[in-house]
This record gives sequence, C-alpha cells and structure tokens, in this order.
Amino acid sequence: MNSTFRNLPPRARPQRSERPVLEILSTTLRLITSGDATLWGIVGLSLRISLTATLIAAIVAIPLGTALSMGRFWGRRGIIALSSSLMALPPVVVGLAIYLLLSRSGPLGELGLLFTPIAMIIAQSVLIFPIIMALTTEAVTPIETAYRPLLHSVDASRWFRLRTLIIDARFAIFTALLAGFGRAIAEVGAVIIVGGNINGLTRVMTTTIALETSKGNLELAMALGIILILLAVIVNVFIHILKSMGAKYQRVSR
Amino acid sequence: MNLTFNNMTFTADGKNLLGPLDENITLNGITCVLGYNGAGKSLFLELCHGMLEPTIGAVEWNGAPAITTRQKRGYIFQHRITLRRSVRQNIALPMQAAGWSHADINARMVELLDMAQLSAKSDEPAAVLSGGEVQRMALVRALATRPNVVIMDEPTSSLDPGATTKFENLIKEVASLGVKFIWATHNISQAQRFADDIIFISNGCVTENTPAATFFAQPTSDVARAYVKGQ
Repeated sequence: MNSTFRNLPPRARPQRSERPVLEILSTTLRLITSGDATLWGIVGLSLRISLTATLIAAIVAIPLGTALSMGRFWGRRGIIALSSSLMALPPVVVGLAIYLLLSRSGPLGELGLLFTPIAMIIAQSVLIFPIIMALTTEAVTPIETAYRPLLHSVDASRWFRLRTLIIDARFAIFTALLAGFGRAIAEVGAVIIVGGNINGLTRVMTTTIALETSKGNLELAMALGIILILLAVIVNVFIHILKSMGAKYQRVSR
Repeated sequence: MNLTFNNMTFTADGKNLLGPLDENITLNGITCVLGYNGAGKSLFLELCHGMLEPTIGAVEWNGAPAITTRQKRGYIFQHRITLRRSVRQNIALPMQAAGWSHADINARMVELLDMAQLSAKSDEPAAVLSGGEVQRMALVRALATRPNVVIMDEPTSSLDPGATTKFENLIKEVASLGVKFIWATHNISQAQRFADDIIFISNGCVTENTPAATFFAQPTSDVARAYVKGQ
C-alpha cells in the first residue's frame, strides 16, 4: 500500500497532517466549545435535514406499518418481507435513483431540486422509510394480535383500531423513529450524490467529514465526528429510556 | 331480551363446528352455558355476540343481526386482555370506541371504578393488577356503555377462590340492576348457584335450553346427565 502511494506524483498523494495528535485534539475541542459558526452551521443543517426526513418518512411509514400489522390479505407476508429487505437499501443506489429523477433530464428535473437540501431530505426519507415501516410493523404485530379480540368485541372502527395500536406501541415506534433518524444523520452516500456537498447550502456533517479528511483539515472533521458520535449516544440513551418506560405497561394478555 | 338462531350453521375449513341451530332463547337473568371442552361453547358465545358471522342462517337479538349490534352488549374473555395503559384507560376503551365525550366518560368512570373496587388503582398500569382485579376490570369495561347483556366466557376459570367470590358478588350486584348474562362455565356448583336458565351444548348442538331448576333436577339428554354427574 505504502509503496503504491510512494510511486504517485506528490499532488496525488493523500495529504497527511504533520501535527501531533494532542494538538489536533485540543484544537478540535476548542472548535466545539467556542461556538464556531461554520461548525455549528453544518450541525444545524444536518439536524434540520435529518429531522425533516424522519418526520416525513414517519408520517407515511407509521400508519402503513400499523395497517400492515392489522391487515389479513393475500401478499401481506410478501410486503413485510420486502420492507424488511429494503432496510438494507444501499444509500448510493438510492442517491443515484433520486439523482436520475431530479436531474435536468429526469422526470422531476423541472422542479430544480437537485443539489438542494430538499433533494437530500427526499433521499434520506426514502432510505429510512422502510426502516421505520418494518420496525413499526414488528412492534405493533404482537400488540395487534393480543388486542384484536377486544377491539373486535367493542366493534371498534378501523381508524379507532389504528389509533389505539399506534398509541399503545408508542414507545417501540419512537425507537423506530430514533433508529431511522440515526441512519439518516449518519448517511453520506446518497446525500453527497443528490446534495453535491455545496458549502453553506448542502454540506452536512458526514459529507464535511469526508471532504475535510481528504483535505487534511482534521480538526473540523474530528469535531463533527465527535458531535456525530454524541448524537448517536444521545439517540441510544433515548431508545433505552423509552424501552424502560414501555416495559411497565408491557404485559398485554394471557 | 330474545336471542334467536335462525337455521344457523358455522363451518370452518369445510368442517361443521356449530349447528344447525334453530333456537329461541329468552334471557331472564343469568343464562349459563355448559358443555364439555370442545363442545362449541366459546364459538356459541362469539356467535351470540356477533364476533363471528354464521356461515348459514342468522343470529339475531330482538330481530336485529348480532353482528351489527355488538356495541349494545359487553363481552368478557376467558384469558386476560389488558391494553398497555392504565386501569382507567382500559375501562374507557368501549366508551371511546362508541364515541362518548370526555365528560361522559369521566362521569361514568367514577361509578365503574367504584363498582370494581379499583378506584385506588385507577392510574396504575393494568399490567400490575392481579388476576381477580383484571377480571373485575374486564367486567366493568364490558358494562361501560350500559349494555343490556354481558356475555362471559369462563371468566373465573383462572381465579383463586377468594377472587372468584369477589367476582361473583360483583355479578350479583350487576344482575340485580337488570343486566342479563350469558355465562359459560365449567363450574357446576357456580351454575347451580347463579343460573336462571341453562343452555347445554354437545358436539356443536344445543341439546338443552331449559330453566336451571329443571336442568339440574332432570337433564333430558344422556350426555347432560353424565356431565352433571361429573362423568
């Protein structure tokens, strides 16, 4: 590997910081604590995009995932299996598909959405939709099975059943939302294709980390990396809290 | 209260599970449904309530199809079904499903919690209730929308004697208010103490539909005689 790089002309070699790690770390921490406008601008944009994508995906995926657990129709198992498989959608493929849709010659090209935050929101929504839907179905199905006779006995309408199941699976559904948000905020492949990583417009945490690392600007990359890890920890703490909150209501029947 | 089975048959996977039944049942108070395991008691109750649709014929309450009048009756299951909610919210379910206002639900809730002796536990998760408390909660939940009839599928089968007595006392109290019961039980002494009428089911057919006193004094069919003798 090293010999390969040695044979490359100087400009093509990956750049490498000569500064000591401790110095980089202290600059990184200063960058985080000083309220650096560039850094927090990127963090803010990332959060806005990923939270909006999670919200949009949730509005469709939660009712659909719940309806899927309620329905008894031919092909239901196939749809559940498909939504589970789509959880592992390769982000770059999603990015490419949305790029083709939004590019000037694509069917939605006239909207001019390519290389905008909206395109990134669309890409993240598409990516996390199957995650939220599959996890919702998985969370609601045992509750639906336990509640079904009772809801049937009181002649509850479909809408009432849907609402009841979503309310009672709320802790698990929040966990699904957090899992979706975690995937969205950490995603890089799709957003870099449809967002273009434009400074001040579509540059989010993950794409900045990729760019700044390649430029050798490790302080900003590390600062964003630390914030990303902190966000992941916060999300996981929330998941844990929600699970323990839901546990006290858990014994459903029999 | 008249329950009519009009030439009713219920089949599943090509098997005849209940019927053909042509019965006219008048509810006078508490009607106990007796029969061996697998005779079709639960199926009979679910068809009475309208949770299942007959394959042939009809089940009607005072001339109206059972399947469209479920909200006029309450149903208690043999196994515990509790929502992942507080006791209060569990009891509120039928009222919410029937579209009652918050004010009406709250007003009714006070009576129901008091009746079930669960006022002190109203805000606790239903999951923490004991078996007896769950079935008392299930009874007041079934009574929430002021139905005329409550159908119960072996509600005391998993309760200890103390919890069973408390549940039975609650039934007495509710029955004295004019609510009619259809009550499946395996406990013959319970049926003797409570039943005004008996329906005996054997092999998916109603073999006896008679006042309790007559049934226990002289069952007409051999199978009912054997059942009463505990054979």
